[in-house]
Amino acid sequence: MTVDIRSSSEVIRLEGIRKSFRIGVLDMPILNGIDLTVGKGELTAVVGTSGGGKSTLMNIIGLLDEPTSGRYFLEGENVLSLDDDRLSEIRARKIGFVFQQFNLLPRSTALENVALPLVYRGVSRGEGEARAMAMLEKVGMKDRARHRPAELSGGQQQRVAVARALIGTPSLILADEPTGALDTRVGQEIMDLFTSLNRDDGITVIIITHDLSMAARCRRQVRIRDGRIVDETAGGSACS
Amino acid sequence: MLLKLRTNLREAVRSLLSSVQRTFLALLGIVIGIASVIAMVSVGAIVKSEALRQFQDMGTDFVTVTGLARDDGKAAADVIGLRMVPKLHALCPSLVSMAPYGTSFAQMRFRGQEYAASIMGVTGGFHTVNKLKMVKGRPISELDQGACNCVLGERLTSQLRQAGVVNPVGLNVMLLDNVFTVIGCVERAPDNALRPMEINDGLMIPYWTLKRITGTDRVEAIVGRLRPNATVARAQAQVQNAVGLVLKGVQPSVNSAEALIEQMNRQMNLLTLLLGVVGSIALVVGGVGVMNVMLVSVSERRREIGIRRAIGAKRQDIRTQFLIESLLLCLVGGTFGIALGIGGAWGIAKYQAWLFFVTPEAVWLGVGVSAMVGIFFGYYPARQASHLRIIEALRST
Repeated sequence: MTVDIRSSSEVIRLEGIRKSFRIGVLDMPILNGIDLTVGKGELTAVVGTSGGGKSTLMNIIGLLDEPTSGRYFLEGENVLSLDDDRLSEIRARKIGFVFQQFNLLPRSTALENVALPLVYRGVSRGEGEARAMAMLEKVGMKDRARHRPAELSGGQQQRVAVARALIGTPSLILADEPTGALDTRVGQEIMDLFTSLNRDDGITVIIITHDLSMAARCRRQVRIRDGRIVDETAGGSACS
Repeated sequence: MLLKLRTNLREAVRSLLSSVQRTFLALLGIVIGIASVIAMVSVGAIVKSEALRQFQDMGTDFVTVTGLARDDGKAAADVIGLRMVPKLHALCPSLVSMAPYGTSFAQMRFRGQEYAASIMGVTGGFHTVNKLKMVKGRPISELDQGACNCVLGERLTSQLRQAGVVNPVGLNVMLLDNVFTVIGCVERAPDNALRPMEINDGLMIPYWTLKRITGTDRVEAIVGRLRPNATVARAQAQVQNAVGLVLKGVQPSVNSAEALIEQMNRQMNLLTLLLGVVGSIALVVGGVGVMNVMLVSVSERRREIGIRRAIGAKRQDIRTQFLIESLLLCLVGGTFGIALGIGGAWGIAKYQAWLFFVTPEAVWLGVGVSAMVGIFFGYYPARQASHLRIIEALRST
């Protein structure tokens, strides 16, 4: 069953995405023709075994990597034809990343980390920090704003990372195993954060996970195996 | 732009502070290089002003004529005697005045004490040509002829003062087995490679007296003044021609302030070359060191670069960030280098008894050169950082 969305509310449209890596003389196919459409305001989980191509797909969606062939439209724009500078701009404006390993800059405070994307968009420091502070408040980390990542717990770091992903008001949040480095309870809290952001603010979220209990909390689940989408379910339990 | 610059500067400071030891070692080359350049430029400027200062009191028209003896000058036929000087002068229109002098060395005895004294036998013109000033008494004049009169130089005057003589004028001293009367004391003449050094270090007696007592009539050298608009080369040609007429086989030379400044400049050029070579090598080595530090920094921060790129930094942003870091690194090194270089120039000036000053050009040059090194050697690592593949950078630890 596919979600009925009009093309104007499409955030992502992937058509026949293939990706292979060359190892010596062999071509190792990772993605074998992915067709995927993600609508505005959707909360999607991409699940599958490790090595199945989830992360590669995520890197392609996040414009961190290029497919070997296929077409990719992000909000209607054919992004595979763009140069590096334009891709950087799109990453800055339209995509927010959340990584398994949090990926905060160790020498910067939580506040500076959150404000960093705004620096690359030319927002003044005062305004950037004010917005970063508001975003930290939203994820419940306001009182840790001046701490460095090493002084925060894993869950707290991931909250800061979510705030950083949100600060640019992106069209899309891409989360790659966001709970993978956290224990179950803290992981659930982070999932709560994503589901409430999706429900309350209508933010489009794609979560890559191998944890089925996390995936089950998303309305839509896309299962990938051997570089293909093998199963797609919409519905399931709605976000709680 | 300014905003990013400030952020970049803060990041650069943090990054450099996080590895102080490595930063410091990398900077040594830059410090030495810049120090050499600064020392070179400073010393150059100091020498130039020193040369001018040295000859200012004496005038740039002052010349000395040396090389007036054939072989070892023992026989009377091999030397220029006093009587030949007016003849020479007539043949040298480029010289306004010529004051010949002869030299000897003896112990001056006074109240049982002996004082080593260089003796100059001079004529009346010597005092004026050298622009000497009297502390007391009067100079040797033409009227002294064969009289046993002497004028003390600065060293002997102060030695006598230590022996309790406040005013040596009128004293009788023993010199060359004769009793001489001190008729005057000259002020210390500024040291100068052209002026006969015996002026400060000895005493002057009439040329005729020296000739009479030692039995030799030998003009050691002639000091003189150039006529306005006359060139040293012209004067030298005239002198060589004139001397050649009375004494075959000698090559007298005319030394002028100009020639001496020239010579100082040549020595200076050698020093400049040396410091320049050392400086250039050190700068290249330092630059490579900086490049190395930056490459290490880039490879240590691959993940950070990946993160920055993922959240929207353009290649140019990454490149700028690392360029600013290496620029800052080199400017810090440059600052130490400038300080060290100025210190070095001060040391050289002190050692050579030159007047020390700081040339602003040297400071700007140091800043400029270190900035250039920073950009030149920082470009490659910065470019490498900006061209990392994002997913690989993110995957690194």
